[in-house]
Amino acid sequence: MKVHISISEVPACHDDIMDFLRSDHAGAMALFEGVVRADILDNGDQVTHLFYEAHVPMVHAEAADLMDELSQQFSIHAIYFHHLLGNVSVGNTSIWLGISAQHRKEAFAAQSWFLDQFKKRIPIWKKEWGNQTQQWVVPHE
Amino acid sequence: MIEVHVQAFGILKDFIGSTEVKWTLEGEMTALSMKAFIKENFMVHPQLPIAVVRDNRYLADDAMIQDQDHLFLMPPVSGG
Repeated sequence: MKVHISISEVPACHDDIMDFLRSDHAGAMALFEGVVRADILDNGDQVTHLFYEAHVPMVHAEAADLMDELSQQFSIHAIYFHHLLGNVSVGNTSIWLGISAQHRKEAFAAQSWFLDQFKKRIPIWKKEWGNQTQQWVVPHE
Repeated sequence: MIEVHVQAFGILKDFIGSTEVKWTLEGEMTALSMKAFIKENFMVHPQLPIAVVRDNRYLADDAMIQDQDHLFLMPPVSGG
């Protein structure tokens, strides 16, 4: 399985992702992009951008562990994961997850599994910024 | 007395008031007692889960904090 893990303040390049995923044996290439929404904050303010921070060495370590687990559960050819750091405005992509597999069902299932695990385990935090306020996002467990 | 270097992330930075601090702690301390110390001293919500990380690994509650440890304090993750 080919693996790419990166996290930086530079957006991923769509063509680079697709080139990485492409294989003569992969009939499906699924690319998920997480995009910043204009959510309404508790006080009525509207989100203008998100700020992301991370413990970068642990992002790599945890993502590598996740991909090991993924490879034991799903038969996929390649996975490309990139997350942005810093400020990301509404409408822009903050996370890219590309997976190629022989068939679409495997690619979609692996993508969904990885994203669920990512949300629980990868040490990245975001702060919502509105026009007048800001607040860290703290998921309720 | 032990001295530890602490780096906080996310909402814990706001509670602690700084990204990086050095703490001098009296006596032995486990990861669990460090979490209690943080909640008692920095008005952290009692229900907020805190993870203590050393050498890129989450510490079990009974893990001992060592003199000169570099620790990372992490609230629940929220990437994506």
